[in-house]
Amino acid sequence: MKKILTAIVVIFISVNSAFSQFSDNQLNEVVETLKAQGKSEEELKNTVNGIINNPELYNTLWKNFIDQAYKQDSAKWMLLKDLNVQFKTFQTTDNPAASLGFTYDFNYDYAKYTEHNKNRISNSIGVSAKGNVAFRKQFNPADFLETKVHYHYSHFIGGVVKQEDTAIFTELNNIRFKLAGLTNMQSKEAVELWEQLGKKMVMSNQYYYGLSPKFAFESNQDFSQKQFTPGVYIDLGAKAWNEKNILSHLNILDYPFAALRYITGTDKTFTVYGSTIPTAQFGFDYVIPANDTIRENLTGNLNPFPRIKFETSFRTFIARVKKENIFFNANYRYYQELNAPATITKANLSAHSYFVMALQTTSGFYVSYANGRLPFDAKNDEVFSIGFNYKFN
Amino acid sequence: MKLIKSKTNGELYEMYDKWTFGKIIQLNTALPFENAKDSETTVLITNVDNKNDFISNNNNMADWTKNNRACTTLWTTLYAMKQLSTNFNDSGDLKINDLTFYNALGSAELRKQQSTIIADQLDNVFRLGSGATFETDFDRTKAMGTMIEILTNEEKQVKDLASAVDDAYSFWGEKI
Repeated sequence: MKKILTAIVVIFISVNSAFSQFSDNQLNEVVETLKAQGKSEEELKNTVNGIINNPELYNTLWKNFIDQAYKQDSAKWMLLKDLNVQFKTFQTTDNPAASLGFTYDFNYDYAKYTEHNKNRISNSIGVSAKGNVAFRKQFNPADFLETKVHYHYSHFIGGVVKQEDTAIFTELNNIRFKLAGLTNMQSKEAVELWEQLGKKMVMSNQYYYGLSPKFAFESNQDFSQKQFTPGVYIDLGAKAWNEKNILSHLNILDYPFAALRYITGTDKTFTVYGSTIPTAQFGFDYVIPANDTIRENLTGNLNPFPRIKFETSFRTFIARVKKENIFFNANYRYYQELNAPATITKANLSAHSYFVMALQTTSGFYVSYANGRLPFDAKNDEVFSIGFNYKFN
Repeated sequence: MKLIKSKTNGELYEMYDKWTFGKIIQLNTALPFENAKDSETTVLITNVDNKNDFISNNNNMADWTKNNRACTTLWTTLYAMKQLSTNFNDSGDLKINDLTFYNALGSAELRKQQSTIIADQLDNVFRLGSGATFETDFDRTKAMGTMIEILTNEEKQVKDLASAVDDAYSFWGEKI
């Protein structure tokens, strides 16, 4: 693994000579300081190993690499803006050893947005890729990579009541200007102005659906298991922008957080946010295994099979403490093979689910918990993590 | 600054020959209107639309200022949509991942979906609810694409979105 880590450092550094000088100086400084303190060769090795096994080193290197690449030739590296990479340490509850690795998530598409009467439509084509890679494969808690090309049709309905009275537009401008001059949004004056704004700018429920034929390639990180998955996905979304609407009250996931907001004084009244209704994606795949020795051993063949998939995401606001906003985030994915052979069901491989949730603050501090497995994972894993998040571009 | 502070709003923003006095200062410095007293400023803005427009149209668009209608309209809309809970001054520097919709745990696809829903609603409020129109060279595809690009980048700030919105939309009363 050290060879891999060293190679990554060398690649980053070779692209970025300025950083090379910086990292050399930093590393030399550390070594010289330790030597001056009379540390042994063994202690020096342990310290340096600790540095090269720290994901933050690679996050910093990667950020610097992206920054320099943009400065040198932004057109050449344009697609990097659609790529999220985060280096992290993987550690599961049943294994005290940790492994360095990274998560990647890339999504690029070209879209055209049009509108017809009250309906808005978009058509897009694109590619996406996501997955986790651990530098020691056996420690990867979610060993599942997915790359796909897709076409996407989506349709939006509602969202706001069209205002025909142009005098209202001027009144709205004045209210907005007055509100922008206030510092306390819970003051009597502010509350009254927000009420006036709400009466003149009437928001309604917004609905969204999308249809997406796609062709995907799924694998584990060393490609010892791989399969092609053509399929069709349906996206569904709804937002109740008016908190008094019945749809807001149906957002039961937000009830505990509405209570927290009320208790902490973030909201003056118990208010369920209809704006945080989870979005969902349903999918139907026709899975064509290309290489899967586990499946082949269990069923005696690699015949294609149908599979359904479900994914949903939820995020809501909990409180603002000084300058820190605190959010709750959750994501759930579920895969179910239809009419799975008895041997697959008995081996507990016909269904896979993965749940992750996290508390996150403005400054990037997070506490997260993940449970479950994705296709190709042999067993359920529980993963706890705590730390800081960085974004690189 | 001493000169600005020594003048009343009337002296600064009533027409002074071809330009307002404030505008003459602005041509050489920046944003004299920020020094206006709130209550008096409100009256001036309310009653003398063309002066407000004049100032808005000449601001540096990267600035987060209440004299820019793109900024105030975006902020009030995001606030009403429960995407932020901060006052105007504290909102410009918020990052996109500080808005309620941005779930870093979901896949990039779901984040794109969420960003698209938010961008669609912003477009709705700007045009149908607030009387904005697209600027020349902008249509729904270009405006949506610009907003979604920012809304999917967690490191961008609300003021970056305001700048993009200002480029894409002409807000009600902005044109002289």
